[in-house]
Amino acid sequence: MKITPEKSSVSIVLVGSMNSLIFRPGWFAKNGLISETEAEAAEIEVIHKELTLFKLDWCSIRVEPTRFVIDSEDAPFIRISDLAVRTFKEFLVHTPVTMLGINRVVSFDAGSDEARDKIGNVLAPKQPWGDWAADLEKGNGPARGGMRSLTMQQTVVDDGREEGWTRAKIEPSMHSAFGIYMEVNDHFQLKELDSVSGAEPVVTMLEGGFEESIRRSEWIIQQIMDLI
Amino acid sequence: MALTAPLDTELEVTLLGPGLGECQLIHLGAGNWVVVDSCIDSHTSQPAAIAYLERIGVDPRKAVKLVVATHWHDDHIRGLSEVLECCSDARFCCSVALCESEFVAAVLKYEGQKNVAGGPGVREIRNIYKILEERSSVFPPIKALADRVVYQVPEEMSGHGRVCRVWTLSPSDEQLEKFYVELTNLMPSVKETKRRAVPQDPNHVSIATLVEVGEHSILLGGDLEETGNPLTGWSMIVSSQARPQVKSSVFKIPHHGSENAHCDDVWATMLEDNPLAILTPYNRGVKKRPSQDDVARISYFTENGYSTAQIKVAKTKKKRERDVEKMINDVVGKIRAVSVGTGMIRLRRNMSDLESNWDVELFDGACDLSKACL
Amino acid sequence: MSALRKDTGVSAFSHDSEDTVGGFKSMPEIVLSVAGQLPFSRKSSDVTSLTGQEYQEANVGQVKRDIDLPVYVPRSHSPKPSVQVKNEWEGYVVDVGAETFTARLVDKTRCDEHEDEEADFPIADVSDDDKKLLKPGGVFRWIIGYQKLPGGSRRRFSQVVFRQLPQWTEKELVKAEEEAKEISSKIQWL
Repeated sequence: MKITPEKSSVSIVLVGSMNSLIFRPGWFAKNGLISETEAEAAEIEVIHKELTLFKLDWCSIRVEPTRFVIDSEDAPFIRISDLAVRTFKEFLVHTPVTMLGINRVVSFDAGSDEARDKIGNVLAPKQPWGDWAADLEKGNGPARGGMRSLTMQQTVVDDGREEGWTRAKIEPSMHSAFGIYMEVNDHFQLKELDSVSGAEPVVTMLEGGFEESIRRSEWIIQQIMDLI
Repeated sequence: MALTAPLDTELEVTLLGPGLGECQLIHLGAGNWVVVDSCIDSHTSQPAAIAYLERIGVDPRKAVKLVVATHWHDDHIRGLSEVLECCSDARFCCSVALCESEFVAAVLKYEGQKNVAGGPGVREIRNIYKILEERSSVFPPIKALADRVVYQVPEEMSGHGRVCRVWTLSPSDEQLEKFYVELTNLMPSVKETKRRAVPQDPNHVSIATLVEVGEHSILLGGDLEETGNPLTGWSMIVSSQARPQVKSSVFKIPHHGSENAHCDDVWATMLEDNPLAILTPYNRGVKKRPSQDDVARISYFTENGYSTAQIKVAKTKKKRERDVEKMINDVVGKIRAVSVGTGMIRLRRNMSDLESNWDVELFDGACDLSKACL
Repeated sequence: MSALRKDTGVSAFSHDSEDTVGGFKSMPEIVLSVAGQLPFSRKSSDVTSLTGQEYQEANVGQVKRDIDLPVYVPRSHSPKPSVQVKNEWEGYVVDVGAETFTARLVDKTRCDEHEDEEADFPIADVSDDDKKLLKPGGVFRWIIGYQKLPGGSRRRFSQVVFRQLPQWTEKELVKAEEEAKEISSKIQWL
């Protein structure tokens, strides 16, 4: 990307029927999905039937009754895909999984107030707001009014997915004075949700589509970076 | 380079090599061409055979009559499916080992990996199978076996009045047995972590090809190695009575000149004195070929040795930021380019002139064998 | 979770049944929803201005003290250095020597598709856990870049990480064999 993000992460979300209690570091190690060393060093926050949450050196895993989430701030991001694919393709094949989300999140510095304002004004001009526009303009720096959040959605994605969308959100970032936060959610979904009996269809989409999804998300983010 | 096609009466052998991979084109006469193996032309990124034929004004779709894959290693097969697709009038020939469903299954297992490619060789073979499925009822492909004629041009159609025959001299039954053992080692098993397909040496099923044109012949060695076993490798070919008992004036040296493909008896009994000996170097990895010893050994048998390129450690041409280059240097020293540029050796001989000999032309970095090594 | 839906103005935060937005957000209310309580932050007057980012920053420790859950006390840890990746390659091993291994490389940063580069890597750079994958055909990622340390200083880093690729399943292998038989039967060899 043109501007090196200050914060950057990728996450994978699988929606289905999960048993949170299974997903302990020891279980992953026992099945050769992570090493014993990694399992022993895991930082466990919660293990409960409603929520399991722990961190490894390079990723964190969170499991709820309807979602499995793995995210990482550390490249190579392909690792989270490999771990998710292995988990649900080799061991939890019978877990019904209906949806997949591949998320790319960055927070980058626009460099100046003016640059950040320019993007806000291009994406959400104040002028259509009529008489309120003048009030929006009031304030300086962070106190000034304007675009708070914007989401764009592409509903037809020509990559063979049964259903889904790509959504990109942009907001001012909390991490720096001139920061911009962007989040791209690439959502894949099976057409027939009621007849799903296992994880394979969705995990196969993940296995074949992860890198292309990330590449596309970064391309979308780059379109905004190019405005600076 | 003279951008002209050979005359109908001219025999041509052209060897292309980018330092990784090789391709041979043989003009039998009257616009009949044979392509053996494939590599990518470093200048155009096209399959080298297509790039060359188009450059000299030959339409590959009509001119190429036979495409031969000597074996499935990456450096002999890149772009081959595109060649076969383009050459719509050509039959396809490969080792019988590659026709068996066990090998097909191995290819599919590696090629089916969704998030990591099985390897260029695997991908090419998969694409070749797809083309053959569509074409085989019209142009059935041919299994290469020891001592088999796979293509023939009758004298009235050869342009120079001589019969042309393309023979495959290998693999033997014994070689096939060894290949199937190797295939077992290569075959993935349940619960094994996926990986890339990496073919192992020695090469048991490479095809060696003999092209007979009247009283002349050309021996193309593929990557066939010599094992010392009379039932396999070059010893098997030398001792065969079923092949043409001729001596060739041109020898495409097998396996990039390495010692494990050398057989004294080939030079003594299958080649004329001082034949034209041509090879492509292997510029990858730690063991580059030909070595100085290889060059010395070959030079003992012929003064007419040529290489399509010099062996050289070529730094990658990809430009990266300075700090990235520095970090690369800290970790691995240099990143090497796998390909150093396609060189070409072209041999032509006018069959209507009984006094003529082979004309040797060297292009784009091809050189005398004595200059091949650093 | 349903308590959230009744809130107004939290349009930026969509955590419904159709949501596959992951990332850092939503942890506090997930934890709290388990205990059936509203997120503590929602009681404040600025609750409708909270966005996804602010949820990320919410004080999970404070949240957890408000609920009665069997939790493990997380081990304290130093903040991780942030990483700026300058280049990433995918490589596969072609040869393993005594101290180095040779690999072909595809530059992922440049979105290359062909393996037209090659390099020799020190085996010492491979972690103990990854050494079992160090064999011909083994696939890895090589990343180089900078680490920004918590104190503010920067240093170069290089990392070789072998991919824990999925294993071949019986279903995949059987399917390939069946397809191979079908292909072989369709091609009429001479």
